[in-house]
Amino acid sequence: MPQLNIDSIKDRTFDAIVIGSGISGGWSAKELCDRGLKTLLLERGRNVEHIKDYPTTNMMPYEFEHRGEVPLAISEKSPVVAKCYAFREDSMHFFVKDSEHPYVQEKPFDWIRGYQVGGKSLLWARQTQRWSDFDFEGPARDGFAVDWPIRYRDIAPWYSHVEKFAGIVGDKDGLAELPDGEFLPSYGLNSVETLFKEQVAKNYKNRYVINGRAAHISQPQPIHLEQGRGQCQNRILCQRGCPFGGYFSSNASTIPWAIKTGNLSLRPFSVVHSIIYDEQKGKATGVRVIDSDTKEEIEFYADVIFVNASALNTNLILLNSVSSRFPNGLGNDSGVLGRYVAFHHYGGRVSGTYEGEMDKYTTDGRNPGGCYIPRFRNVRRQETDFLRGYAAGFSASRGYYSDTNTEGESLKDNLLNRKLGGWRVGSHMMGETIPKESNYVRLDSSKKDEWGIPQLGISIDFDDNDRKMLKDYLEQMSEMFEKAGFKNITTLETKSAPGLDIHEMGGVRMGNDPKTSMLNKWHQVHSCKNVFVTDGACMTSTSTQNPSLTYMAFSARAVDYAVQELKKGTL
Amino acid sequence: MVVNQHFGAGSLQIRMKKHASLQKGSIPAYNSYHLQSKISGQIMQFKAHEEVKMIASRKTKYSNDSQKFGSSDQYAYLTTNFPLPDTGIKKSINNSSMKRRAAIRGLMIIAGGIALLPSCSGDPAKASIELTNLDITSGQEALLADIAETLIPKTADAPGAKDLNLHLFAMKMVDDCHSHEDQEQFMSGLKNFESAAREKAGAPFNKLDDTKKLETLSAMLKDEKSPDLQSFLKITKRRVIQGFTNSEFVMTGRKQYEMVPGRYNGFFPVQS
Repeated sequence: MPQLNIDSIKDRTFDAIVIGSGISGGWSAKELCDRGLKTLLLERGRNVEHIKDYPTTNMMPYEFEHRGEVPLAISEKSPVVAKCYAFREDSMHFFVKDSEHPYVQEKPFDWIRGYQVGGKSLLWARQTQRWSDFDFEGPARDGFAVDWPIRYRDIAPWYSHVEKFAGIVGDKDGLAELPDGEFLPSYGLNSVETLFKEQVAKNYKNRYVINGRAAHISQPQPIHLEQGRGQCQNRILCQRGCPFGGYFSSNASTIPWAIKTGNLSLRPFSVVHSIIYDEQKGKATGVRVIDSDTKEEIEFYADVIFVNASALNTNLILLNSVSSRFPNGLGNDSGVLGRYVAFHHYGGRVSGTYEGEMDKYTTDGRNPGGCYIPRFRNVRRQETDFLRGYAAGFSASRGYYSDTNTEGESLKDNLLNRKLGGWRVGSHMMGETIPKESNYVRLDSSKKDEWGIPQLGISIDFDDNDRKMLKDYLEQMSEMFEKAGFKNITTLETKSAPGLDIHEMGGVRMGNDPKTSMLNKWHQVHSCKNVFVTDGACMTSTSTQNPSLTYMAFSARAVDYAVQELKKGTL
Repeated sequence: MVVNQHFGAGSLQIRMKKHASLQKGSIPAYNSYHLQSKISGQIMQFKAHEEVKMIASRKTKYSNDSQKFGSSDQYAYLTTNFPLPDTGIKKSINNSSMKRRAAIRGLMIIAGGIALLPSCSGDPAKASIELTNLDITSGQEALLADIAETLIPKTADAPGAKDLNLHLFAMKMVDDCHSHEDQEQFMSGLKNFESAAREKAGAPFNKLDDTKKLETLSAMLKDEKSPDLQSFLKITKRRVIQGFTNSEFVMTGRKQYEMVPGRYNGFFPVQS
């Protein structure tokens, strides 16, 4: 059917193609369209239109057949995504059915995917911390991976660019390890979080508890109203899609903006098979797509291609883009494609209780964010027997409870007259893992998916560095809790497999040397300059910050460069 | 009809009135809504999206009328004046789909706010709702209703478990969300309940007076000698409590849940 509508090469030719409409692809598309390029945005899943396609967004808890729980018949069909904290009855339609999208776990790996327009930007945890040079200089200083070809000064203006548009809450904390950005007013720490901040500052040098920077509009600016977005209403139902556009998603922000320019063509149901390489021209000329419904193969053409398919799927597409020039995958002269994949270590949690002076306070309304503790280990110098370190989330909360150790009228009375409970505090780690050649993804050509594309084999695991880091986090955070006067401190090792962090990165890493990396400092494939990769696949190292903001800034910066080069005729 | 089982006849009229206005396609309260941004004072108008207006008008009602929502009497006020959604999906702008959904809804059984599909079997010996994994008889369903009502009885100011169909909710949850082992224990306990109760109280459970019912049930919940029975009662109790605290009556009527706070204060003084 699409071929009938799009029957000539001319109609299938654009200035630019963006593969993937998630958080980075939405930005690539917006920036390309803003610069006047006719852009085709390809998405393998269905369309999800802002507000219209958020079927659960206004439902009260009692309107859900299972009060939010996922029925067993559904979770058994999707055993991997069912492990994700956000996979609930109100949001399960934004996750893949695992059985429809098989992959090969050479080692256990929980690959959490959301195949629809907007991708996982509908579901993300919205934390947006900047990197600093302590992060970009990490591999060079500590002797792992390869040196990043960029530094903070290269990306700083692009962080500002995307922060202003997306809407980020935060405080000017003045920390070298977590540079300040363009912030809307933060929601503020609550009483016990403030107490913890003060106690940590008193007891430790260079350890800070701050408001996590997060993509919520606490105070709409004209640029947000222009997008049709309004103030965050503190519902904390983000994973359903927000009818106010209160948090940033491709659906609420970049995609409708790109559509308004008149330059965007959005094509859902388009599984990208490969990128087409022209041996004569010595560059990519387009993208080969399988229509996910009709299974029909269609080619689209453009001068420049942005690959934003999500970290591991971007690897898959490049690996599957073979030609006589690139028999091992597009741009893979070095053999590093698919290797040096890393992730974030979320393996530890610490919790406790608080009793004391702050019991005179509780909270009112809801905070869509929480506290953030920037990495404090091995920042300025190596000080432990493991490399790098971890950031941590922290929050204190106080809820209601009812005594349910009774039945009849007394039970009912307890349920109708809840009592204010005590304060609970909790923290989780976000550790940097070291990219290694032995952590890789590859095509498993013996197994194909429904669209005839080889399945991805994933072989990623923890190592000793990760185990030492986990032990240190549990010790340090317990000590910080103790010094703050928290009680009933308990530690938890989650034992979850890599992947559940949903921060998988690398495989198409940036670097100065084409012999050891895939992309140059502008995110161009070294040996195929009109293909750009600006999603998680490009990451040389992972550091500890939630990575989405960095992908957004990378996308905007790379598009700016690509359009300049197109105008010069050098692509 | 079955809808009566929800909150009585008054609520049925309210629902029907609401559907009538939806069918005409006129929802006056939503048409001219302005969402006012609290901090900036800027005014946004959403023209294209019914859903936003729906939430926004709900929020306006909350802030204007918040003093009035205190008792169950005022709850009636709330259901008549407050655009409570029935399914969420109903808010789809498509008029014919609304009519269809309203019609389907008429056939559904409301259990604690959610609509359950009635059983297709038409067999009076079977459970009244469609179940996939559990084989529950109408007699067992009636017993479960008695147990649920004993856990959370009707009182002067608030509906009880039977009014809210919490036994059906518990059945639905065990059927769809519990492991096979849980389901087996639940069924085994349900089957053995009657004889165990008779042994303890000397008469069938439904013939006992309310005090004796409560005494018997509480004793059985503590009895660790019958693991299946105890497991059945614990699952039932947990789900009945959940169905109650998550019901429209408690969450909205008793203000235990606020969907659109629009604020956060980290230093809110505890009211003593």
